Amino acid sequence: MTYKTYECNSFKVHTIKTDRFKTSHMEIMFRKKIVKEDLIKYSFLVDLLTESSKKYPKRKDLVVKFEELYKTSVYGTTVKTGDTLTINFVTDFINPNFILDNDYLKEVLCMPFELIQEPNVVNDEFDLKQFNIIKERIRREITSISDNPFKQCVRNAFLVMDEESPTSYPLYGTIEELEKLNPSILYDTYKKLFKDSICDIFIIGNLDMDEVVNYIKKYFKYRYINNKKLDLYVNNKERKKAIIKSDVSNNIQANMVMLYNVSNLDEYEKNVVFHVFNYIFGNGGLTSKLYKEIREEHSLCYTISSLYLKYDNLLLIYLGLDNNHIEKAIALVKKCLKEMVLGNFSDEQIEDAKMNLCISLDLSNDNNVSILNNYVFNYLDNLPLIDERKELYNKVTKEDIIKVAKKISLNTTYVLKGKGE
Amino acid sequence: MKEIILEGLDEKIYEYTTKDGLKVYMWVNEKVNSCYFTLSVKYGSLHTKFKIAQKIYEVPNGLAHFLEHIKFNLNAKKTAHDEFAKIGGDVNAFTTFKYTTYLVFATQNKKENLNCLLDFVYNDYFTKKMISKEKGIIVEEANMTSDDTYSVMFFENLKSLFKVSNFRNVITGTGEEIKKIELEDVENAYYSFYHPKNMFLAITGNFNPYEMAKVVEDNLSKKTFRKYTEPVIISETEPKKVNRKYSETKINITYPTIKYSLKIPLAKFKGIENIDLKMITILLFNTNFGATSDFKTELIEKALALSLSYSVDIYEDYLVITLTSTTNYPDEIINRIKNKIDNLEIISKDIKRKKNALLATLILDYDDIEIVNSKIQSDIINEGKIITDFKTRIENFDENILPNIIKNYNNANVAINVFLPQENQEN
Repeated sequence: MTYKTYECNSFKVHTIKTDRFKTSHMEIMFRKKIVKEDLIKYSFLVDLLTESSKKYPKRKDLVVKFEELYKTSVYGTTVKTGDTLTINFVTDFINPNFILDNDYLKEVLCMPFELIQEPNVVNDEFDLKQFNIIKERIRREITSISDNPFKQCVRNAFLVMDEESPTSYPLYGTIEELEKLNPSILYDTYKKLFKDSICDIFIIGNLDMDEVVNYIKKYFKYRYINNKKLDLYVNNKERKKAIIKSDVSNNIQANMVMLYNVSNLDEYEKNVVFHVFNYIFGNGGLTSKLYKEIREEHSLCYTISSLYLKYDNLLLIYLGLDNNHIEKAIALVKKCLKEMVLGNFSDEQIEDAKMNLCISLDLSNDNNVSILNNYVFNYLDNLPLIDERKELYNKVTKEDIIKVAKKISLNTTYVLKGKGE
Repeated sequence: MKEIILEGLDEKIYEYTTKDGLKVYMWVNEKVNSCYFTLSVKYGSLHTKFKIAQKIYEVPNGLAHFLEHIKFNLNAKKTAHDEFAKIGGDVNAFTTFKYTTYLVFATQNKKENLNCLLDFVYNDYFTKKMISKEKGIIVEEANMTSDDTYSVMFFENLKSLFKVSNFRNVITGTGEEIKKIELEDVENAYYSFYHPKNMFLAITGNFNPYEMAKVVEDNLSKKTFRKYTEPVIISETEPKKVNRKYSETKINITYPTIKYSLKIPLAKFKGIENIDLKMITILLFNTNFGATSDFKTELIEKALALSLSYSVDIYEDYLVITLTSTTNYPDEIINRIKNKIDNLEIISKDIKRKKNALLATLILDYDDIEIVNSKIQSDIINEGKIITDFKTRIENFDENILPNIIKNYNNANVAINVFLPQENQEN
């Protein structure tokens, strides 16, 4: 694999050349600081820009073009990473060596820039028909969160923790915010997207990268230079006394989220040690402490896992269980964490965790999107590249793990009670 | 070792049969690090009644899934997870209607991982205590499924389509059914079905197929298997007519959703293999109801529907085509679908374009060890063999066959399900 970065004045193109995959993957990223009321606008805008364009005024026209380009896909996402919003336009396509058409690469690379730069706009307003289609789709996205007990429980837990924290801001906003939007406001947002963002392009594939960059320079007329430094991390406030709240849902099962603050970790602890801790504690699948204690030993639940939200400085524990088991499960989670602080885990568990984390990295090396994502976070946050991280995992000691376990404190327990069978 | 060439794809699958009768299918991709092993038993949630010699056995719904769970216990103290954690294997399992699969991902210690997989699946350790303990966990899993609206809608639809078939029943079994499972049921199912002759192993990724075949042969040669009793599955004859023509259910959703399903006996498609029928039906419904169709475009543009999708499945003797739409206008959508089914179009240029897109997808599938492994599972379970000519089948598909087929897609035997929000949940 060959990594190379091209400076193109107002943006950079980061390339990874490899012949290991039959497809190529490109991400055009615009990054900016999160502003609560803007989230829905950018989520809406991304959908609007990838739904149609001046040349392809209906979704149908676009899909026909994608099919003609051998099932190329171009789609948009908005992603919250701590305190940063990334507006991302993704293109997946077959490597040109499988296609006889000489213009194929040129046409494929032109597509995302055409969508971004030639939107379906008349008189400084997005096309009303397309606007209304996306509006209904987002309305559904906002309201149907209650169809998914896990999502609903996590969202509510964040709001209970701190509704002013960027961690709890909903990506799709609220119905009230949605109703205030119109095609003209969206066009203003569109203009702001270019002015206020930092732009980078990442691409992986079996491609002549010099040729690719020449096409990008030809098709991408981005002229804004932004040197702002973006802070990725959200420092969620700790609590002297943890809070517990519950609501009742229409579900059969109860769902529970426990949020712990993770404070004052250094780079090595964030990127390496905490992952080893979390593997042993709750993220190591069916061998984790939480799983063994709460599911295997006490048969209290089916689903249980812990998730490290690095950029929010949080540890999230999620359980799906019977209403009658809630108090016992909370006590057992606390007991498991205390055992981690006291060092009640074996050297064998540490070695298993390190080995399995290294294997996960090896597995991610078999996927072009994972390789690209590693590269993105290496660039944005100095996350060590895969081989370096594997070496670092192997250096982690029991003392390192106990040290990070002591930096965890309970903030919020939120229970969405079920109505039972 | 047999080499099965996949026509036009420059790919091959190795096939090996062990002395105990286990078929091993292997696909090598030297560009990846990892290996994906799946050991599957042709025993799923449908198989609740079977005959061995002259004796008929009936077991509770959900047993196949229950057995999958407790299979991970190696003895009173150890689970298979503990063993795989030591050698760096990522192990899991799933149960479907027709089969159960135990799977492992590994990037190192590949032979050890394969040995570990064979050792735990062919370990007949079952106790009353283990069964009693596992019931609590699986009841919670069943409750989780009951809270999953997609799953609820999927099985309600199957209940409308089928009157007696076990396709009506959730794979986990209900809480009550799970509670009925006894040690005797578990042992009966295990000894009847978990025999190498009723199972197959698929290995995809970076490995030497000759070495892997030897690992399997050596491992099984150290095990003793009971004589294969050749259980015969007994299934009720499913009536041709749908079970319920129309049904309304209030569930935990925000927007109304409709499912419109056609149930067509396969006997109506004489001379057409199931694999071709499925491909042809997908092409036809994609052009009539997919993202490039005027039909879908109009529904979305007029805000009559928020989404429209279709699925094509074969359930034993029936082809089932289901159109699913999230809509605030269920009656209008149902009428429009009904009308469109009566007026399906053959749009040559769309079909040709989608055929090319399908070919591109097929080529790309052989980049992914999980997809290829799933294809092997699907071929063996549904077709009884590896399909070697799928690319040729797509290329040779002649749309002149369509007028004959299309007449079978009609509204004569349809199940409609309308799912509505509960009172406190409307949007």
